[in-house]
Amino acid sequence: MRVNEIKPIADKLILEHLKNSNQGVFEMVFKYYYSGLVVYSDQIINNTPLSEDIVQSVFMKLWETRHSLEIRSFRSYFIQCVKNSCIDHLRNQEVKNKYKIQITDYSQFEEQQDFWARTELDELIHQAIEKLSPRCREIFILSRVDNLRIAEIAEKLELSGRTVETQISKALKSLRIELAEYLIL
Amino acid sequence: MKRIDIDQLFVNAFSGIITSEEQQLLDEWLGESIENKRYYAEQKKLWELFSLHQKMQRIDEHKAYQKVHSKLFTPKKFNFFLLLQRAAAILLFPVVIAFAFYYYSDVKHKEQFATVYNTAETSLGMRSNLILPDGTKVWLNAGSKLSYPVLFSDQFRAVKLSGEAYFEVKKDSKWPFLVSSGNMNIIVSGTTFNCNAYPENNEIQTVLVEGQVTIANESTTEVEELQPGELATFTKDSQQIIKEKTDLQKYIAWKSGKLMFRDDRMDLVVEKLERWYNVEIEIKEKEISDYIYTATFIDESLDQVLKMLSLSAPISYTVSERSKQDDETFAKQTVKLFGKKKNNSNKQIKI
Repeated sequence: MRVNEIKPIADKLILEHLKNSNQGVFEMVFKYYYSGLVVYSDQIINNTPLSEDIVQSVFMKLWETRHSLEIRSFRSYFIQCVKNSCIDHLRNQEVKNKYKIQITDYSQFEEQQDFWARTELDELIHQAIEKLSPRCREIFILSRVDNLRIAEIAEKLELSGRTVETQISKALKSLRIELAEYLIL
Repeated sequence: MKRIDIDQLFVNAFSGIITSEEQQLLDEWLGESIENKRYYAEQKKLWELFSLHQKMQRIDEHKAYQKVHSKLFTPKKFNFFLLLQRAAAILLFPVVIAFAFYYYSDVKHKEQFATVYNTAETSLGMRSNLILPDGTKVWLNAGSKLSYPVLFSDQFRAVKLSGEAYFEVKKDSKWPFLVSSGNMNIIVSGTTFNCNAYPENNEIQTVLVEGQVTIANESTTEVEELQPGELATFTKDSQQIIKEKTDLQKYIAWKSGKLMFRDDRMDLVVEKLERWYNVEIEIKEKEISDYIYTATFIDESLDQVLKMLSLSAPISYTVSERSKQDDETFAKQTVKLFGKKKNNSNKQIKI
Protein backbone atom coordinates (compact mmCIF):
# COMPACT_ATOMS: atom_id res chain seq x y z
CA MET A 1 0.00 0.00 0.00
CA ARG A 2 1.31 3.42 -0.91
CA VAL A 3 1.92 5.85 1.90
CA ASN A 4 -0.38 8.32 0.15
CA GLU A 5 -3.23 5.94 0.62
CA ILE A 6 -2.67 5.43 4.31
CA LYS A 7 -5.47 7.06 6.22
CA PRO A 8 -4.82 7.05 9.91
CA ILE A 9 -8.30 8.27 10.60
CA ALA A 10 -11.09 7.17 8.39
CA ASP A 11 -12.41 10.24 6.58
CA LYS A 12 -16.00 9.21 7.02
CA LEU A 13 -15.59 8.97 10.73
CA ILE A 14 -13.80 12.33 10.87
CA LEU A 15 -16.64 14.02 9.05
CA GLU A 16 -19.17 12.55 11.41
CA HIS A 17 -17.28 13.81 14.43
CA LEU A 18 -16.83 17.24 12.92
CA LYS A 19 -20.55 17.50 12.26
CA ASN A 20 -21.05 16.73 15.93
CA SER A 21 -18.71 19.64 16.70
CA ASN A 22 -15.99 17.45 18.14
CA GLN A 23 -13.16 19.86 18.79
CA GLY A 24 -10.71 17.06 19.65
CA VAL A 25 -11.12 15.51 16.21
CA PHE A 26 -10.79 18.92 14.60
CA GLU A 27 -7.50 19.45 16.42
CA MET A 28 -6.24 16.04 15.36
CA VAL A 29 -7.04 16.70 11.71
CA PHE A 30 -5.50 20.16 11.93
CA LYS A 31 -2.23 18.90 13.36
CA TYR A 32 -2.06 16.00 10.97
CA TYR A 33 -2.40 18.05 7.80
CA TYR A 34 -1.26 21.55 8.78
CA SER A 35 2.52 21.59 8.13
CA GLY A 36 2.19 19.51 5.01
CA LEU A 37 -0.38 21.92 3.60
CA VAL A 38 1.73 24.97 4.48
CA VAL A 39 4.70 23.53 2.64
CA TYR A 40 2.45 22.62 -0.25
CA SER A 41 1.12 26.19 -0.42
CA ASP A 42 4.62 27.58 -0.05
CA GLN A 43 5.68 25.66 -3.15
CA ILE A 44 3.08 27.58 -5.13
CA ILE A 45 3.19 31.11 -3.69
CA ASN A 46 6.67 31.06 -2.16
CA ASN A 47 5.61 32.93 0.97
CA THR A 48 5.62 30.96 4.20
CA PRO A 49 3.76 33.39 6.53
CA LEU A 50 1.03 33.88 3.96
CA SER A 51 0.86 30.15 3.42
CA GLU A 52 0.25 29.68 7.13
CA ASP A 53 -2.58 32.23 6.96
CA ILE A 54 -4.11 30.49 3.97
CA VAL A 55 -4.07 27.08 5.60
CA GLN A 56 -5.46 28.43 8.88
CA SER A 57 -8.32 30.05 6.95
CA VAL A 58 -9.04 26.77 5.21
CA PHE A 59 -9.38 25.05 8.57
CA MET A 60 -11.53 27.82 9.98
CA LYS A 61 -13.81 27.56 6.99
CA LEU A 62 -13.96 23.81 7.50
CA TRP A 63 -15.16 24.31 11.07
CA GLU A 64 -17.63 27.04 10.23
CA THR A 65 -19.25 25.08 7.39
CA ARG A 66 -18.93 21.65 9.01
CA HIS A 67 -22.69 20.99 9.11
CA SER A 68 -23.16 21.31 5.38
CA LEU A 69 -19.98 19.61 4.23
CA GLU A 70 -19.83 16.55 2.02
CA ILE A 71 -16.25 15.32 2.04
CA ARG A 72 -15.09 11.98 0.73
CA SER A 73 -11.38 12.57 1.09
CA PHE A 74 -10.02 15.16 3.46
CA ARG A 75 -6.69 14.99 1.69
CA SER A 76 -8.15 16.05 -1.65
CA TYR A 77 -10.50 18.51 0.03
CA PHE A 78 -7.62 20.33 1.76
CA ILE A 79 -5.35 20.23 -1.28
CA GLN A 80 -8.13 21.66 -3.42
CA CYS A 81 -8.96 24.42 -0.91
CA VAL A 82 -5.34 25.44 -0.44
CA LYS A 83 -4.65 25.33 -4.15
CA ASN A 84 -7.67 27.56 -4.85
CA SER A 85 -6.61 30.06 -2.20
CA CYS A 86 -3.09 30.14 -3.62
CA ILE A 87 -4.35 30.71 -7.13
CA ASP A 88 -6.65 33.47 -5.86
CA HIS A 89 -3.68 35.09 -4.20
CA LEU A 90 -1.57 34.87 -7.36
CA ARG A 91 -4.44 36.34 -9.43
CA ASN A 92 -4.81 39.22 -7.00
CA GLN A 93 -1.12 39.89 -7.23
CA GLU A 94 -1.32 39.83 -10.99
CA VAL A 95 -4.13 42.39 -10.89
CA LYS A 96 -1.95 44.53 -8.67
CA ASN A 97 0.95 44.24 -11.10
CA LYS A 98 -1.31 45.08 -14.01
CA TYR A 99 1.47 46.53 -16.11
CA LYS A 100 3.22 43.24 -16.08
CA ILE A 101 1.50 41.37 -18.86
CA GLN A 102 1.69 37.74 -18.01
CA ILE A 103 -0.96 35.16 -18.40
CA THR A 104 -0.27 32.40 -16.00
CA ASP A 105 -1.40 28.93 -16.77
CA TYR A 106 -2.77 27.92 -13.40
CA SER A 107 -3.36 24.38 -14.56
CA GLN A 108 0.35 23.80 -14.04
CA PHE A 109 -0.40 23.53 -10.32
CA GLU A 110 -2.82 20.68 -10.86
CA GLU A 111 -0.45 17.77 -10.47
CA GLN A 112 2.92 19.37 -10.04
CA GLN A 113 3.18 19.70 -6.28
CA ASP A 114 3.69 16.87 -3.92
CA PHE A 115 1.60 16.73 -0.89
CA TRP A 116 2.81 14.84 2.12
CA ALA A 117 1.34 14.93 5.53
CA ARG A 118 4.18 15.45 7.92
CA THR A 119 3.85 12.17 9.77
CA GLU A 120 3.77 10.33 6.46
CA LEU A 121 6.96 11.89 5.22
CA ASP A 122 8.61 11.57 8.61
CA GLU A 123 7.84 7.91 8.61
CA LEU A 124 8.90 7.37 5.03
CA ILE A 125 12.27 9.05 5.40
CA HIS A 126 12.85 7.57 8.78
CA GLN A 127 12.18 4.09 7.51
CA ALA A 128 14.39 4.55 4.48
CA ILE A 129 17.30 5.97 6.40
CA GLU A 130 16.89 3.39 9.15
CA LYS A 131 17.85 0.74 6.66
CA LEU A 132 21.26 2.29 6.13
CA SER A 133 24.24 1.22 8.20
CA PRO A 134 24.93 3.67 11.08
CA ARG A 135 28.07 5.15 9.51
CA CYS A 136 26.44 5.40 6.13
CA ARG A 137 23.38 7.05 7.68
CA GLU A 138 25.50 9.60 9.50
CA ILE A 139 27.38 10.56 6.37
CA PHE A 140 24.21 10.66 4.32
CA ILE A 141 22.45 12.99 6.79
CA LEU A 142 25.45 15.32 6.82
CA SER A 143 25.49 15.36 3.07
CA ARG A 144 21.79 15.53 2.20
CA VAL A 145 20.18 17.07 5.26
CA ASP A 146 22.92 19.39 6.47
CA ASN A 147 24.19 20.17 2.98
CA LEU A 148 27.85 19.65 3.79
CA ARG A 149 30.39 19.11 1.02
CA ILE A 150 32.32 15.85 0.88
CA ALA A 151 35.53 17.53 1.99
CA GLU A 152 33.74 19.09 4.95
CA ILE A 153 32.23 15.76 6.00
CA ALA A 154 35.61 14.07 5.67
CA GLU A 155 37.17 16.69 7.88
CA LYS A 156 34.40 16.53 10.44
CA LEU A 157 34.42 12.75 10.75
CA GLU A 158 38.18 12.44 10.26
CA LEU A 159 37.73 10.19 7.28
CA SER A 160 39.26 10.27 3.85
CA GLY A 161 37.25 11.88 1.11
CA ARG A 162 37.26 8.57 -0.64
CA THR A 163 35.43 6.84 2.23
CA VAL A 164 32.82 9.57 2.43
CA GLU A 165 32.19 9.31 -1.30
CA THR A 166 31.75 5.58 -1.10
CA GLN A 167 29.34 5.82 1.84
CA ILE A 168 27.17 8.42 0.15
CA SER A 169 27.11 6.36 -2.96
CA LYS A 170 25.99 3.37 -0.93
CA ALA A 171 23.30 5.36 0.87
CA LEU A 172 21.87 6.72 -2.34
CA LYS A 173 21.75 3.33 -3.90
CA SER A 174 19.92 1.99 -0.88
CA LEU A 175 17.44 4.87 -0.69
CA ARG A 176 16.75 4.59 -4.38
CA ILE A 177 15.60 1.07 -3.87
CA GLU A 178 13.77 1.83 -0.63
CA LEU A 179 11.88 4.82 -1.99
CA ALA A 180 11.58 3.50 -5.51
CA GLU A 181 7.84 3.86 -5.73
CA TYR A 182 7.92 7.54 -4.67
CA LEU A 183 10.59 8.47 -7.14
CA ILE A 184 8.62 7.46 -10.18
CA LEU A 185 8.49 10.36 -12.55
CA MET B 1 33.91 10.61 -14.63
CA LYS B 2 33.33 9.11 -11.24
CA ARG B 3 29.82 8.65 -9.93
CA ILE B 4 30.77 10.32 -6.67
CA ASP B 5 31.78 13.61 -8.28
CA ILE B 6 28.46 13.53 -10.03
CA ASP B 7 26.67 13.25 -6.67
CA GLN B 8 28.37 16.42 -5.51
CA LEU B 9 27.36 18.14 -8.76
CA PHE B 10 23.77 17.06 -8.12
CA VAL B 11 23.83 18.51 -4.65
CA ASN B 12 25.20 21.78 -6.01
CA ALA B 13 22.63 21.82 -8.80
CA PHE B 14 19.70 21.09 -6.46
CA SER B 15 20.70 23.66 -3.89
CA GLY B 16 21.35 26.26 -6.59
CA ILE B 17 25.05 26.81 -5.92
CA ILE B 18 26.30 25.15 -9.10
CA THR B 19 28.90 27.09 -11.09
CA SER B 20 28.62 27.37 -14.86
CA GLU B 21 31.68 25.14 -15.16
CA GLU B 22 30.08 22.45 -13.01
CA GLN B 23 26.80 22.84 -14.89
CA GLN B 24 28.69 22.17 -18.11
CA LEU B 25 30.21 19.02 -16.66
CA LEU B 26 26.77 17.93 -15.45
CA ASP B 27 25.17 18.57 -18.82
CA GLU B 28 27.90 16.54 -20.54
CA TRP B 29 27.39 13.68 -18.15
CA LEU B 30 23.61 13.78 -18.56
CA GLY B 31 24.04 13.65 -22.32
CA GLU B 32 26.02 10.44 -22.08
CA SER B 33 23.05 8.12 -21.52
CA ILE B 34 19.38 7.82 -20.71
CA GLU B 35 20.40 5.96 -17.59
CA ASN B 36 22.24 8.99 -16.37
CA LYS B 37 19.22 11.20 -16.95
CA ARG B 38 17.00 8.80 -15.11
CA TYR B 39 19.41 8.62 -12.22
CA TYR B 40 19.53 12.39 -12.06
CA ALA B 41 15.74 12.64 -12.00
CA GLU B 42 15.51 10.13 -9.19
CA GLN B 43 18.08 11.95 -7.18
CA LYS B 44 16.28 15.20 -7.73
CA LYS B 45 13.04 13.74 -6.46
CA LEU B 46 14.86 12.31 -3.46
CA TRP B 47 16.36 15.71 -2.80
CA GLU B 48 12.97 17.32 -2.99
CA LEU B 49 11.59 14.85 -0.52
CA PHE B 50 14.33 15.78 1.90
CA SER B 51 13.87 19.49 1.46
CA LEU B 52 10.10 19.18 1.89
CA HIS B 53 10.75 17.29 5.07
CA GLN B 54 13.15 19.96 6.29
CA LYS B 55 10.64 22.72 5.57
CA MET B 56 7.88 20.89 7.39
CA GLN B 57 10.00 20.55 10.47
CA ARG B 58 10.27 24.32 10.70
CA ILE B 59 6.50 24.72 10.88
CA ASP B 60 4.89 24.84 14.30
CA GLU B 61 1.44 23.32 13.92
CA HIS B 62 0.82 23.55 17.68
CA LYS B 63 1.22 27.29 17.74
CA ALA B 64 -0.91 27.59 14.62
CA TYR B 65 -3.61 25.50 16.22
CA GLN B 66 -3.61 27.74 19.30
CA LYS B 67 -4.29 30.67 17.02
CA VAL B 68 -7.14 28.97 15.17
CA HIS B 69 -8.52 27.60 18.43
CA SER B 70 -8.69 31.03 20.05
CA LYS B 71 -10.42 32.44 16.97
CA LEU B 72 -12.98 29.64 16.73
CA PHE B 73 -13.63 28.38 20.22
CA THR B 74 -13.54 31.46 22.42
CA PRO B 75 -16.50 33.13 20.75
CA LYS B 76 -17.64 35.12 23.80
CA LYS B 77 -14.36 36.93 24.19
CA PHE B 78 -14.06 37.33 20.46
CA ASN B 79 -17.58 38.72 20.20
CA PHE B 80 -17.06 40.95 23.18
CA PHE B 81 -14.10 42.63 21.57
CA LEU B 82 -15.87 42.78 18.27
CA LEU B 83 -18.79 44.40 20.04
CA LEU B 84 -16.41 46.76 21.78
CA GLN B 85 -14.80 47.64 18.46
CA ARG B 86 -18.16 48.34 16.91
CA ALA B 87 -19.30 50.32 19.91
CA ALA B 88 -16.07 52.29 19.79
CA ALA B 89 -16.58 52.99 16.10
CA ILE B 90 -20.14 54.15 16.70
CA LEU B 91 -19.12 56.26 19.68
CA LEU B 92 -16.15 57.67 17.87
CA PHE B 93 -18.33 59.38 15.32
CA PRO B 94 -20.00 61.87 17.70
CA VAL B 95 -16.67 62.22 19.49
CA VAL B 96 -15.04 63.28 16.26
CA ILE B 97 -17.82 65.77 15.63
CA ALA B 98 -17.65 67.04 19.19
CA PHE B 99 -13.92 67.33 18.96
CA ALA B 100 -14.11 69.18 15.67
CA PHE B 101 -16.72 71.48 17.14
CA TYR B 102 -14.64 71.98 20.26
CA TYR B 103 -11.53 72.59 18.22
CA TYR B 104 -13.36 75.07 16.03
CA SER B 105 -14.81 76.93 18.99
CA ASP B 106 -11.39 76.84 20.64
CA VAL B 107 -10.23 79.39 18.10
CA LYS B 108 -12.97 81.66 19.36
CA HIS B 109 -12.04 80.79 22.89
CA LYS B 110 -8.57 82.09 22.35
CA GLU B 111 -9.96 85.38 21.19
CA GLN B 112 -12.16 85.47 24.23
CA PHE B 113 -9.15 84.85 26.39
CA ALA B 114 -7.43 87.76 24.82
CA THR B 115 -10.25 89.98 25.99
CA VAL B 116 -10.06 88.74 29.57
CA TYR B 117 -7.83 91.24 31.26
CA ASN B 118 -5.72 91.19 34.35
CA THR B 119 -5.31 94.55 35.97
CA ALA B 120 -2.34 95.58 38.03
CA GLU B 121 -3.01 98.66 40.06
CA THR B 122 -0.98 100.76 42.42
CA SER B 123 -2.58 103.09 44.86
CA LEU B 124 -1.24 106.54 45.58
CA GLY B 125 1.98 106.51 47.52
CA MET B 126 2.81 102.99 46.31
CA ARG B 127 4.94 101.61 43.53
CA SER B 128 5.15 98.06 42.24
CA ASN B 129 6.54 95.96 39.49
CA LEU B 130 5.34 92.89 37.62
CA ILE B 131 6.22 90.55 34.81
CA LEU B 132 3.73 90.08 32.01
CA PRO B 133 2.91 86.67 30.46
CA ASP B 134 5.40 87.30 27.64
CA GLY B 135 8.26 88.06 30.03
CA THR B 136 8.07 91.85 29.74
CA LYS B 137 8.98 93.64 32.98
CA VAL B 138 6.83 96.53 34.08
CA TRP B 139 7.31 99.01 36.92
CA LEU B 140 4.17 100.83 37.91
CA ASN B 141 4.37 104.23 39.49
CA ALA B 142 1.96 105.45 42.14
CA GLY B 143 -1.72 105.70 41.23
CA SER B 144 -1.34 103.73 37.99
CA LYS B 145 -3.25 100.96 36.33
CA LEU B 146 -2.08 98.46 33.74
CA SER B 147 -4.50 96.07 32.03
CA TYR B 148 -3.12 93.14 30.10
CA PRO B 149 -4.79 90.05 28.67
CA VAL B 150 -4.48 86.74 30.45
CA LEU B 151 -3.28 85.42 27.13
CA PHE B 152 -1.71 87.69 24.55
CA SER B 153 -3.15 87.29 21.07
CA ASP B 154 -1.06 85.80 18.31
CA GLN B 155 -0.78 89.06 16.43
CA PHE B 156 0.39 91.46 19.12
CA ARG B 157 0.87 92.01 22.82
CA ALA B 158 -1.51 94.77 23.74
CA VAL B 159 -1.73 96.43 27.15
CA LYS B 160 -3.65 99.44 28.39
CA LEU B 161 -2.02 101.98 30.61
CA SER B 162 -3.48 104.63 32.82
CA GLY B 163 -0.81 106.36 34.84
CA GLU B 164 2.94 105.97 34.65
CA ALA B 165 4.88 102.85 33.87
CA TYR B 166 8.37 101.86 32.89
CA PHE B 167 8.58 98.99 30.42
CA GLU B 168 11.36 96.57 29.62
CA VAL B 169 9.75 94.79 26.70
CA LYS B 170 10.82 91.23 25.93
CA LYS B 171 12.37 91.21 22.49
CA ASP B 172 10.28 89.62 19.75
CA SER B 173 10.34 91.44 16.44
CA LYS B 174 7.48 89.34 15.08
CA TRP B 175 5.24 89.99 18.06
CA PRO B 176 4.77 93.73 18.52
CA PHE B 177 4.14 95.14 21.97
CA LEU B 178 1.47 97.79 22.04
CA VAL B 179 0.74 100.22 24.85
CA SER B 180 -2.43 102.16 24.45
CA SER B 181 -3.60 105.04 26.51
CA GLY B 182 -6.65 106.89 25.29
CA ASN B 183 -6.17 107.18 21.58
CA MET B 184 -2.40 107.21 21.72
CA ASN B 185 -0.58 104.01 20.99
CA ILE B 186 3.02 103.08 21.56
CA ILE B 187 4.22 100.26 19.37
CA VAL B 188 7.50 98.54 20.10
CA SER B 189 9.12 95.19 19.53
CA GLY B 190 11.73 95.03 22.23
CA THR B 191 12.79 98.18 23.99
CA THR B 192 12.91 99.99 27.29
CA PHE B 193 10.83 103.08 27.74
CA ASN B 194 8.81 105.06 30.21
CA CYS B 195 5.31 106.22 29.62
CA ASN B 196 3.55 108.81 31.70
CA ALA B 197 -0.16 108.80 30.93
CA TYR B 198 -2.18 109.92 33.91
CA PRO B 199 -5.74 110.45 32.71
CA GLU B 200 -6.07 113.71 34.66
CA ASN B 201 -3.11 115.20 32.78
CA ASN B 202 -3.39 116.85 29.42
CA GLU B 203 -0.13 115.33 28.27
CA ILE B 204 1.13 111.84 27.71
CA GLN B 205 4.89 111.69 27.87
CA THR B 206 6.97 108.86 26.53
CA VAL B 207 10.73 108.67 26.84
CA LEU B 208 12.81 106.05 25.14
CA VAL B 209 15.72 104.55 27.03
CA GLU B 210 16.79 101.94 24.56
CA GLY B 211 15.75 100.50 21.17
CA GLN B 212 13.04 102.09 19.13
CA VAL B 213 9.39 102.94 19.61
CA THR B 214 6.67 104.22 17.37
CA ILE B 215 4.12 106.60 18.81
CA ALA B 216 0.87 106.61 16.93
CA ASN B 217 -2.12 108.84 17.35
CA GLU B 218 -5.07 106.70 16.47
CA SER B 219 -7.42 109.54 15.62
CA THR B 220 -5.11 111.61 13.42
CA THR B 221 -2.99 108.64 12.32
CA GLU B 222 0.06 110.71 13.12
CA VAL B 223 3.10 108.56 13.64
CA GLU B 224 6.38 109.51 15.27
CA GLU B 225 9.44 107.39 15.75
CA LEU B 226 11.55 107.95 18.84
CA GLN B 227 15.28 107.51 19.22
CA PRO B 228 16.88 106.73 22.58
CA GLY B 229 17.05 109.83 24.80
CA GLU B 230 14.06 111.44 23.11
CA LEU B 231 10.82 112.50 24.69
CA ALA B 232 7.50 112.49 22.93
CA THR B 233 4.79 114.63 24.40
CA PHE B 234 1.30 113.99 23.20
CA THR B 235 -1.10 116.74 24.01
CA LYS B 236 -4.69 115.63 24.33
CA ASP B 237 -6.17 119.04 23.51
CA SER B 238 -4.29 119.56 20.28
CA GLN B 239 -3.89 115.85 19.49
CA GLN B 240 -0.32 116.56 18.53
CA ILE B 241 2.93 114.80 19.21
CA ILE B 242 6.02 116.88 19.92
CA LYS B 243 9.44 115.29 19.92
CA GLU B 244 12.48 116.61 21.78
CA LYS B 245 15.81 115.56 23.28
CA THR B 246 15.63 115.22 27.01
CA ASP B 247 17.37 114.17 30.21
CA LEU B 248 16.22 110.62 30.69
CA GLN B 249 17.00 110.38 34.36
CA LYS B 250 14.32 112.83 35.29
CA TYR B 251 11.70 110.55 33.75
CA ILE B 252 12.87 107.20 34.90
CA ALA B 253 14.38 107.94 38.33
CA TRP B 254 11.10 107.11 40.04
CA LYS B 255 11.61 103.48 39.13
CA SER B 256 14.60 103.27 41.48
CA GLY B 257 12.80 105.13 44.23
CA LYS B 258 14.14 108.58 43.43
CA LEU B 259 12.03 111.65 43.17
CA MET B 260 13.76 113.87 40.65
CA PHE B 261 12.95 117.34 39.50
CA ARG B 262 14.85 119.14 36.79
CA ASP B 263 13.70 122.68 36.03
CA ASP B 264 10.15 121.66 36.75
CA ARG B 265 7.33 124.00 37.52
CA MET B 266 5.94 123.92 41.03
CA ASP B 267 2.52 122.66 39.90
CA LEU B 268 4.21 119.60 38.38
CA VAL B 269 6.29 119.08 41.51
CA VAL B 270 3.14 119.27 43.61
CA GLU B 271 1.36 116.81 41.39
CA LYS B 272 4.20 114.31 41.69
CA LEU B 273 4.48 114.74 45.42
CA GLU B 274 0.76 114.18 45.81
CA ARG B 275 1.00 110.80 44.12
CA TRP B 276 4.30 109.84 45.67
CA TYR B 277 3.25 110.48 49.24
CA ASN B 278 -0.53 110.13 48.84
CA VAL B 279 -1.23 113.60 50.16
CA GLU B 280 -3.23 116.54 49.02
CA ILE B 281 -1.24 119.66 48.39
CA GLU B 282 -2.96 122.94 47.95
CA ILE B 283 -1.19 125.85 46.35
CA LYS B 284 -2.60 128.78 48.15
CA GLU B 285 -0.89 131.50 46.15
CA LYS B 286 -0.89 131.50 42.37
CA GLU B 287 2.67 132.68 41.88
CA ILE B 288 4.05 129.58 43.61
CA SER B 289 2.97 127.52 40.59
CA ASP B 290 5.46 129.36 38.42
CA TYR B 291 8.49 128.61 40.56
CA ILE B 292 10.99 126.30 38.85
CA TYR B 293 12.66 123.57 40.87
CA THR B 294 15.59 121.23 40.53
CA ALA B 295 16.08 118.60 43.21
CA THR B 296 16.54 114.88 43.77
CA PHE B 297 15.05 113.08 46.72
CA ILE B 298 15.94 109.58 47.70
CA ASP B 299 13.97 107.75 50.36
CA GLU B 300 13.02 110.94 52.08
CA SER B 301 9.90 111.50 54.11
CA LEU B 302 7.30 114.04 53.03
CA ASP B 303 8.40 116.21 55.90
CA GLN B 304 12.00 116.25 54.78
CA VAL B 305 11.04 116.90 51.17
CA LEU B 306 8.84 119.80 52.16
CA LYS B 307 11.66 121.22 54.31
CA MET B 308 14.07 121.02 51.39
CA LEU B 309 11.57 122.68 49.09
CA SER B 310 11.00 125.55 51.44
CA LEU B 311 14.75 125.94 51.78
CA SER B 312 15.26 126.40 48.08
CA ALA B 313 12.19 128.52 47.42
CA PRO B 314 10.28 131.25 49.23
CA ILE B 315 7.66 128.85 50.45
CA SER B 316 6.15 128.04 53.80
CA TYR B 317 3.73 125.21 54.38
CA THR B 318 1.30 123.75 56.84
CA VAL B 319 0.44 120.07 57.33
CA SER B 320 -3.03 119.28 58.57
CA GLU B 321 -3.83 116.48 60.96
CA ARG B 322 -5.50 113.55 59.32
CA SER B 323 -9.07 114.09 60.32
CA LYS B 324 -11.34 111.19 61.10
CA GLN B 325 -14.13 110.92 58.57
CA ASP B 326 -17.71 109.73 59.07
CA ASP B 327 -16.88 106.22 57.91
CA GLU B 328 -14.14 105.88 60.57
CA THR B 329 -11.33 106.17 58.05
CA PHE B 330 -8.79 108.92 58.05
CA ALA B 331 -8.73 111.55 55.38
CA LYS B 332 -5.61 112.30 53.40
CA GLN B 333 -3.05 114.58 54.88
CA THR B 334 -3.38 118.03 53.48
CA VAL B 335 -0.39 120.23 52.83
CA LYS B 336 -0.91 123.89 52.16
CA LEU B 337 1.74 125.91 50.45
CA PHE B 338 2.06 129.63 51.11
CA GLY B 339 4.33 132.44 50.28
CA LYS B 340 7.06 132.91 52.88
CA LYS B 341 5.51 135.86 54.66
CA LYS B 342 2.13 134.32 55.39
CA ASN B 343 1.14 133.09 58.82
CA ASN B 344 -1.20 130.18 59.39
CA SER B 345 -3.69 129.06 61.91
CA ASN B 346 -2.94 125.35 61.63
CA LYS B 347 0.20 123.72 62.92
CA GLN B 348 2.82 125.60 61.09
CA ILE B 349 6.41 124.83 60.52
CA LYS B 350 8.35 127.95 59.97
CA ILE B 351 11.60 127.85 58.15
